[in-house]
Amino acid sequence: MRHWFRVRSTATNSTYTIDALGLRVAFSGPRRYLAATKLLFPRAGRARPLSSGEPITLQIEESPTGSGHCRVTMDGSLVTATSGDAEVLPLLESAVAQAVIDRVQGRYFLFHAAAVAYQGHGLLMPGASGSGKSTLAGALVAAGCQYLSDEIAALDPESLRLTLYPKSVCAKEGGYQALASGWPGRATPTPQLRANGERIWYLAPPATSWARTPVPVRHVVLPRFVLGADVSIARIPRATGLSQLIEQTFAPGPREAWGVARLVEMLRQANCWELRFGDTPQAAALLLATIADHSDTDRRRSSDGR
Amino acid sequence: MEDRPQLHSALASYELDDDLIVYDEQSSEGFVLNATAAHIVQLLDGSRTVAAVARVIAQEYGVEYQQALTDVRELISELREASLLATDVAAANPEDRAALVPGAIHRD
Repeated sequence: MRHWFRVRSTATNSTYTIDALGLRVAFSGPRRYLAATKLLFPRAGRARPLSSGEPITLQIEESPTGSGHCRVTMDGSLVTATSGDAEVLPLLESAVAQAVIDRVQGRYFLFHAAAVAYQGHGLLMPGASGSGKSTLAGALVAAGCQYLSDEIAALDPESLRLTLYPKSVCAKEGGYQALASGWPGRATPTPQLRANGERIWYLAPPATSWARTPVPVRHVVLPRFVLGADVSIARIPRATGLSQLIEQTFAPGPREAWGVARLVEMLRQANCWELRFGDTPQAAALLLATIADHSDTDRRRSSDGR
Repeated sequence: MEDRPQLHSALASYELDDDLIVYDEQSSEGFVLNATAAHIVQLLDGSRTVAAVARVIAQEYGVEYQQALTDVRELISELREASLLATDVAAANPEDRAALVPGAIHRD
């Protein structure tokens, strides 16, 4: 039996730890991989984890042959092997996401959604892959929002507040072109490869743009990226927002009776929108203008009602 | 004996805007009813016949009785298909129930 996977040199290894929704994740491996990992998960973990749950360790080991092959293990078990450097970050992203879904779903509702905060209000943007939610989240951050997530939105079912999931924005080529110039030096210099062959880039929002505190959900936005489409926004029934959230949940909580009740409660305090767009920065600008206008209208109504 | 339908007891319902979210705890399925359908469902309390419900709807919405009766029957048929009526619970084998997605009953 040929053991060709071995750590090349422990002297070049290092460890980097993050805190993902209370789950402590330690990355261990060659320094050059950890430098890239810090772009994927730029916020180092706190000195002590938020939860008392077991930490997980993701170990990156590269082939001593110099072939560029490496493998990733989680707590000693093989996650997968890769055929090149470009596959490592997507693999780590996926492994952390799965660990979070498996271990944190009891404490949070986890949606396939982007999320940002704007003037203390949470914007929750559920959508399937290709809906444009990641690039929209990036464009909203570039327009002044605080970043919460581009992929996994974590909602505390008790407080109905959104909490930061500390992963950088993952953009496809169009999104990368739209965002990279605004965040110089904060993107992976070369495209990364998902298991399905898709080319992606990771872009780390500026340190000051990451949301520091959980925020209540005040807007549910369904992003609909349509190549070449004009930008438009329309109010939609809250029930439509509910259906979408249930459809885009990673874990069963929101599909259970109490979960539906909590989502209904959240939606009663939120507005629901459908945002169609072909140009992401324009979409971000229209969304924020609409929300600001809506907030003004609400304030006037509140004032008139006094 | 005339049919006096009502929703079965394992349903939770939540008002959201003008819609009514009906959640079936037995099947873990949710349904969205628009305002009219929600009103009809509220009238389906087991005490009224289908004709009586149609008369109320005709009067309240200012439509012909026959039209109201058609609409009420159509909704009841959809509710029955989704096994949401009380009589359906005893009759329906859960495995035979139609697989529905949230919002399947969304009458516009």
